[in-house]
Order: sequence, then structure tokens, then C-alpha cells
Amino acid sequence: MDIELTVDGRPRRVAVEPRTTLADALRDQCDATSVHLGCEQGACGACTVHLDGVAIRSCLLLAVQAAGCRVTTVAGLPVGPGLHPVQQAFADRNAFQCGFCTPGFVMLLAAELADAPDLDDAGLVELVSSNLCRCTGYQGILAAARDARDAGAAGRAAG
Amino acid sequence: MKPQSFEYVAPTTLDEALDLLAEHADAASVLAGGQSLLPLLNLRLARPELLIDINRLPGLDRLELTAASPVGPAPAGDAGQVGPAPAAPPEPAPAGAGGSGLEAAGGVGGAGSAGGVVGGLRVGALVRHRALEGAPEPGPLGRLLARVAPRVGHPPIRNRGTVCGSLAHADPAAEWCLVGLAAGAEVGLASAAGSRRLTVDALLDSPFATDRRPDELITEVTFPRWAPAEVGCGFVERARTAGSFAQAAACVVVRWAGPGAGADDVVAVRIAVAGFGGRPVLLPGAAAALVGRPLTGGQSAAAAAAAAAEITPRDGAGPAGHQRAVVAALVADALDRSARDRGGPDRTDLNGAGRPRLDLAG
Repeated sequence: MDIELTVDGRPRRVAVEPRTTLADALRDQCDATSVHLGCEQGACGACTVHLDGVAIRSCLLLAVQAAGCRVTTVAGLPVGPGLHPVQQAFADRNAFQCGFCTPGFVMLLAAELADAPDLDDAGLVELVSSNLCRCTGYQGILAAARDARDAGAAGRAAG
Repeated sequence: MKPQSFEYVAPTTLDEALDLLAEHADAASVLAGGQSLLPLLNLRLARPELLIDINRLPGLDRLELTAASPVGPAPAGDAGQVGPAPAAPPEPAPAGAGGSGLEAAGGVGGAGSAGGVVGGLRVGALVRHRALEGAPEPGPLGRLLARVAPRVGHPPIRNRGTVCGSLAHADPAAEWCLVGLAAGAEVGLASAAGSRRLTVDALLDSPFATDRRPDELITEVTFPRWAPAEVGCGFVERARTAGSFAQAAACVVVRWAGPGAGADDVVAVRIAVAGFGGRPVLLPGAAAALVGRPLTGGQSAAAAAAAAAEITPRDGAGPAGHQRAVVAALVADALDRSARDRGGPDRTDLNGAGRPRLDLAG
């Protein structure tokens, strides 16, 4: 089946089988190799992307279901003068070890902090538990999550 | 980890979808949120020949208040649509709507709801878990749903997964199966041959099996809405991590007499537990012991002991005595929460840490 979708701002037209997941279509046909496949059963969150602005697991969506939709990967996060605040916080806090899980965590936090910018620390712990880091580098990820939230709050106070 | 090949169709009318289901029945799977089906496809535990994607069917994404309660005859007509992001409290249901059914529906531990019903909340087949996190109505039902929704998977799962899909999948540990059972919710099933309604109790059969026929589509589930002053709900679950399926869970709906003498006397109770069998079960014996007097800590403890005696321990879930102790703890906790919930939200954390939930409205 031929489908059209927008990936990181670029219109794409790809031919996929019905059984092709969005994750595979992104990686294999849209050059979006930041989308990582860990478990392919919705448990690890490494393939998290935004579908029309909402965080989803791209291994649990068929590519044909994304027809006409706007898909954003970590490579297409809107950035200002520098990195996206979540990306900047991950860099500042060295919130990665092997880095495999990082794109998924960044996309999860970017979407959820946009929705709930005042999430408390306990809420961030629960949110971060959505995804898996097999290096178990959660303390760095949590520190980055708190920084990103606080940077957002400071930005709103200043702006 | 890739699905076996299948045909895919995304009908745009309900009739088209039902004709496809009638034609293909067992060979077809229905795709709504896909958060249970896609893992099964990826693991090749499910190998349908045809996938019927219902995401383009109109109207199934509606979350709306109904004047009709799910119990008893259902007059047509809606009290008002809530929409995906309710901003203002909805209008109250017309006086007396569903009222005549209260007593009939209020049988303790019976097939109906706990009574005190003022209308319904209809959740269409494409309403995602996430839509219920913000308390879709201001009463006890809205508070219950807002409390339960954040326990279903993680945010990216809740953004896609649907309430009706969860009921159709019938995982024995799924939150919506338990809550639908405790609340006395009803599902609407449509097929090319006609439509019918089933209580969640009648729908649920055994693990991952329901009384839905292969040619039927669950189009909606309707929960009863209760009078705020009369009903309190309690939900508690134990899961290994946030977002995991429950190892064990309990949900109770308690109705008090309301204004007048004996206002604090309990008049009806539904207690349901999950994690102790192939599907969540009602515990009518424990519920009956609470009726006719105020709900005190002592009463909760007595009902919890009755609940522990009433379950059938499950093989492979630890010693029977342990399972009974877990049931007792969950039921006592849920009943205490229902008393705190009466007339206002219970803000204590589900795992007992005293941390307010972030996403509770009100």
C-alpha cells in the first residue's frame, strides 16, 4: 500500500505492506534511524515518536495507520537557538550511557512535559518508568528530566 | 518479531465494518488502539487473515453523558456531549432520569449497579484511556475513572489504547474489566444481525475470552453516573511497577442512604477483585455484610475478612492463605477509600505513600 506522511517536516510517500510497523517504515524507508527498536512489543519505549504531537510507541502502530499524519522523531524536534530543552538537559547531565534508549526518553519527556510542565518529582519518576534503560542510568535521566522541567518553568517565568 | 502477513481494511462506515466482520468472523481481528493486539501480532501469537481498522469509523471517539443509566430500559437521547476535553461541568441529568430504576437496580451484589444512578457516561470504542484521566464528569464516577486511568499502562500506551479494546481483550488483570464489573457498566455490541447489550459481568468469560461473537463489534461501554452525595468509590491495585498490569486489585462502589435519618447507613455495595481467577469477580457475600449500618473501620475489616473467605484461590499465585490475606487488605483499603471519596476526591496515593495524584481533577 502506498501511504503519504510527514516525517520531521518532510513529506514522504512510501510503499509498505499492511504488516509493516511505523517503526520499521521510519527506519527502513524514511531514513529515521534515531527510532530504535528494542523489544517490539511496547515494553521498552525506545521507539517512542510523536504522532501529530502525541507520544506513541511506533512499534505498536502500523505504518498504514499513520497515513496522512505528522510524525516527529528526535531528529525533528523543534529547536530554538540551541538544542530542545530536553536534549540540552540530557547533554548537561550526561543522561545516557550506551545511548540506545535516549531518543525514546527524549521524545517521551518532550511530549509529556509540554502537557504537564509542572509535574512533580514523584510524577517524573513514574513518567520515566514508561521507558527502559538497560544500562540502568536512571538517576542521570531523572536529573535531566527535572532540569528540563525547571528550565521550562524558568523560561515561562522570564517570558 | 514481525507480524505474519495479513490483509488490511479501514472501513469508513459502521455498516461496512459489520459486513466485513460478518463475512470474515474468526479470521478477522478488530484494530482499535492496538496496544494489546500489536504485541500479539508482532509475536505472532495472533495471526489474523484480515485486520479491520475501526479508527476511521465516525462517532466512536465520543465520550458523552447520557440520561439513561446502563441498567434497565434505556430511553434514547443524550444529556449532553462531554467531548474529549471537558471544560465546564456538564449539565445535570434531567430530574428523575433513571430515577425510577434506582431501587430495582440497587440490589445488593445483584446483577445491577449499586443504585443511586442519575444517568450514564458512554465511552465510545475509540475513546483512549488518556481521555478519562481528566475526570470526564464531576461526580463519583468521574473521580473513579480519573483515578483508574493513570494506572493503565504508560502515557504513550494510554494515548492509543482504548477502554473498549481493553474490555474486548479481557486480560484478567486489566483495570477496566475490574472497574466495569464493580460499576455495573454495560457494553453495546453491534453486528450485521442486530445489536444487543451485555453487562461487563456477562461479557467477561475466561482469560482473554468474552461472550462477544466473532461477528460483533463492541461499539461503546456505558458506566452509570451516581448522585454525588450518595455514592463513594474505592480502587486500589498492587502492581510491580507503575504501568504494569495489576497483580491484584479491588474496586468497590458503596451507596449510602443520603439525606434524612440514617443518612450514613449503607444501602448497597458492589465489591469486585481481580488477580484471583480467570476474570475479575464480584464478592456479593462480603458486600451484603455491609448493608444496613454505617461504614466504619470495623465494618470494613469484617467485610474484608468475608471477602478473603469468599474468593477461590488461584493455582500458581502463591499459598491460598497469602491470596486471602491480599484480598482482605485490598478490600479493606478500597472500602476505606470509598468512605473518604464520598462527597469529595480521595487524594491518597494508590500505593499508600500519601502522595497526591498529579492528575486528579477537583
